[in-house]
Amino acid sequence: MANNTKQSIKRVSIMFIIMFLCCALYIIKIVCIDRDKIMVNSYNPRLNFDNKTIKRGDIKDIDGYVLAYSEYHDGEYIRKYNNAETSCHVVGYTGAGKYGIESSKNFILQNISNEVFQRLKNIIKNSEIECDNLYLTIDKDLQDIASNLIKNNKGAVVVEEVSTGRILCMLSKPQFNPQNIYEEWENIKDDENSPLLNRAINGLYTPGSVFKIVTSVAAIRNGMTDFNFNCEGESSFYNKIIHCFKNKSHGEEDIIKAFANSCNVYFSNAAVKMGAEALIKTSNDMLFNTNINFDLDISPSLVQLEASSSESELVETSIGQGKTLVTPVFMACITQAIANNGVMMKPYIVDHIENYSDVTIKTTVPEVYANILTKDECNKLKEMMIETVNSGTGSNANSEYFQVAGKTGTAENPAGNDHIWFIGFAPADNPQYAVSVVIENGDGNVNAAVVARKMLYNAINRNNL
Amino acid sequence: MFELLIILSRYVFIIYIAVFLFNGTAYILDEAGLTKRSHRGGIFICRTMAALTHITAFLIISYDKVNIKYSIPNLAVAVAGFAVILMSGYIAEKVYKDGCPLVWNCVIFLLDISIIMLVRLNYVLAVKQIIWICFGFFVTMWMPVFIKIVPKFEKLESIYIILSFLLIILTFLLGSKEYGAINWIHIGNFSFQPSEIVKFLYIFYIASIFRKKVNLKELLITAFLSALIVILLVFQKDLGSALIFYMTYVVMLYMATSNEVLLYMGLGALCAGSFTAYKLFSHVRLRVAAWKNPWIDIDSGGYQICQSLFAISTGGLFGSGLTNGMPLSIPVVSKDFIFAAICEEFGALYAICLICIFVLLFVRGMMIAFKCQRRYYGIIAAGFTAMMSFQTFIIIGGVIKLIPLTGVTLPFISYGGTSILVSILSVSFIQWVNGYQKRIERSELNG
Repeated sequence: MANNTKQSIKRVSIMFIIMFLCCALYIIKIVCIDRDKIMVNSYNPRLNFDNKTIKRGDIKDIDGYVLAYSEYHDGEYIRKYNNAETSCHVVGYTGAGKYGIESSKNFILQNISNEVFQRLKNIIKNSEIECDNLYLTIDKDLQDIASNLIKNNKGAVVVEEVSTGRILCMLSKPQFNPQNIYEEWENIKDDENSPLLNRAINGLYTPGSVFKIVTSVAAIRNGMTDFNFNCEGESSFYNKIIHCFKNKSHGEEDIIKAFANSCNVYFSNAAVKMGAEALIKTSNDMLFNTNINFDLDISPSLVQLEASSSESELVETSIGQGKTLVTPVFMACITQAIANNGVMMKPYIVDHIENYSDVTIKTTVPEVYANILTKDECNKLKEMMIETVNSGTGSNANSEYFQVAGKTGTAENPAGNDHIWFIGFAPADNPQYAVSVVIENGDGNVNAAVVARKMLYNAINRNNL
Repeated sequence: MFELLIILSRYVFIIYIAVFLFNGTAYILDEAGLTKRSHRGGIFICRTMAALTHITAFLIISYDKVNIKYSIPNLAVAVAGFAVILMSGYIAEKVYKDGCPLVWNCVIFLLDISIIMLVRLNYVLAVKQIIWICFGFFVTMWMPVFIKIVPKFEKLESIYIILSFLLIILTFLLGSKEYGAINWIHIGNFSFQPSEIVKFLYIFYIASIFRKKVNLKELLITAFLSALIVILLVFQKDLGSALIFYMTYVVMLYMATSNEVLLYMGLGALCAGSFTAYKLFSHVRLRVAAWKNPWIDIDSGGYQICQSLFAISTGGLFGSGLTNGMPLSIPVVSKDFIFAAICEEFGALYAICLICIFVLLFVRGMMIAFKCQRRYYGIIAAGFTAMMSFQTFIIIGGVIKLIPLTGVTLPFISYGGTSILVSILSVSFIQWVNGYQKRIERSELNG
């Protein structure tokens, strides 16, 4: 070969080596950096594998209470649930099908730490091969309390720690017993009350007046902080008349009074003044219409409004009616962000993972999910929410132990009674916990604001329980 | 007990391949004149490592966990596969007396991984693959004879290109669709991929043209004809092959002319061409969309690549252990996606080592071209090496989502008769060139 040809062959060879080096580096990136993000996808069939010859990891609550464990029986391990009914939607079940944490963390629950060592020990001493154990952030005591407070109603309760995004309580009613899910499968599956639905993350509810938080933020962002309106109990729009609750006329109001009174007339007029696009932009900025990353799949909360939507759709949306749908956990996240100066923390429910010899191998570190509000906006909202509890619609949440800030909601519902909402946080001056409560078709025997207040009290005094 | 063996075998496999790579690299450095040591022993160690990999792997995949015994058919394949590979290596070395032993070792190692993975995935395909390997080496045996019969084969450029076009047009007329691309012809029970054979002819064509200094007119004609082949392949939706042909053309042009302007023009035209294809063809846009974000379209367009990434990421650095993964959930796993299956069960580290074996093979191929005194043979050797390199890069890069996925086979490893045949013949030709060069060197020494 001529010399210049040799030169170019050399260069081409170097180019190939670089190309394959890129492949190698990219594989390392997939396996070392992106691994945890990629493999947890629910489409990965490997997450559903089941190995009954090894001891599946325990699922415990934050205090170490064992909610789920495995027991050796006739040649294979069988899953047992320990009074886990109040946590059934979070813990889930495993077997022919999987649900909840049992499904989404299946891989971790069957991961064998120090596998070579454990298998050697198994051969020599016939010891059990134990997988990694999961510690959740939920507190079984709080789950039980919430379950008792909701009584026989359908609904959901979420309690989230403001500074971290830790979920202390995630309750959904009605419940099922994960222990005999397979014997009862036909009944449970066809039950018209859908006990299998985790209402906290997958229940899509009309928000009613709790949505006025979003409308308020939009008003503040569009220079309407000083917007005043004279409420006469009802207000006419194109093709639509908006009434206040029981047609009560609230008179001349500023945003704080209107919020505390949950005045439909004020907020619908504010919405018309700022226009649909302002409300759409604010709700998108507050992470409506997006998927929230979580250890379990959260259904996205939707504000289905368009710039071309009619005026009646706009005013309905502004007071939380219309086609808007939210999940209780998402409202808890919004509340947490208001309490945390606008910083939404990434919600999480797996606290840490321990291996067979109780060595912690991974701890969830709280992380910022998004900055959805400014500090000024939060201060204003806080003021409005305190006013609501102290002298407005949320007086049932008023506690003698600490100042609660909150918002009530009543969502009209074509089938049956209204759904009752309460979202809030406490203590208002130094927020620790945010809570979101929804009660379906509330008939008055349970008050959402009371449930919220008691949950906040028990969360704050959790260590004394 | 057996589980423990599988877990431990993951590390053992990595040791085998590392030893192979160490000795292979030493051999190459030695050949390049960078170190001085005897390498005969290294070659023997490499082959031993291939044999140990084979034995260890079959001890695992032949074991029937449910019935707690060894499965006889699998053991039979194990023995047959072992025999075939050793025999093939032996025949190849006898026929190509002065071939590079390292190249054969790499080929044997890769073919062995292919048989192991195919037995693991689909027993029937493994048996067929072994038959194809036999056939490939059988054809290889006769190639030097054929070259002797047709001594002036560098002057047949018009025949090569006409045959190429005939085959491609034939695919349009008789071809059937597989995974969206029209690149298979079925005649009775027999089916083959014409574009694979065209690869062979095409290299001969380009080398025949470039064996002497080319004038502008010839350059334009080859450029035009190459572009035509590439465009026809794009129309057949065989994007991978189109890319391979194009890149091989550009690189061969560069190596033959040493003109960097042509190289950059070629790469520029690639960008322009890809952009035009992106605008013109919806199937190109689909591929790019599936590459940019497969997760949003996981049910249809992104399905294959997502399943592949699941396998690779779940396997992790050391893999799940042979038979412990779920590679059968990956689509087309025995062909295009076999690399993902290897990643899953052998682990990412092993897969990277496997890439290194490909690199050893290609570097050695380029070295043979580098040393060859007769320009025509040198260009052919470089062309085959470049073509295999691009093919390997395109499919590995596609499977790991480094580049948009285009379906081509992984040389030596993917299941497929035409693929195996063309891969073996390409390497054999490179070996023949090496032998040719050695003979010339010897006669120069004697004369």
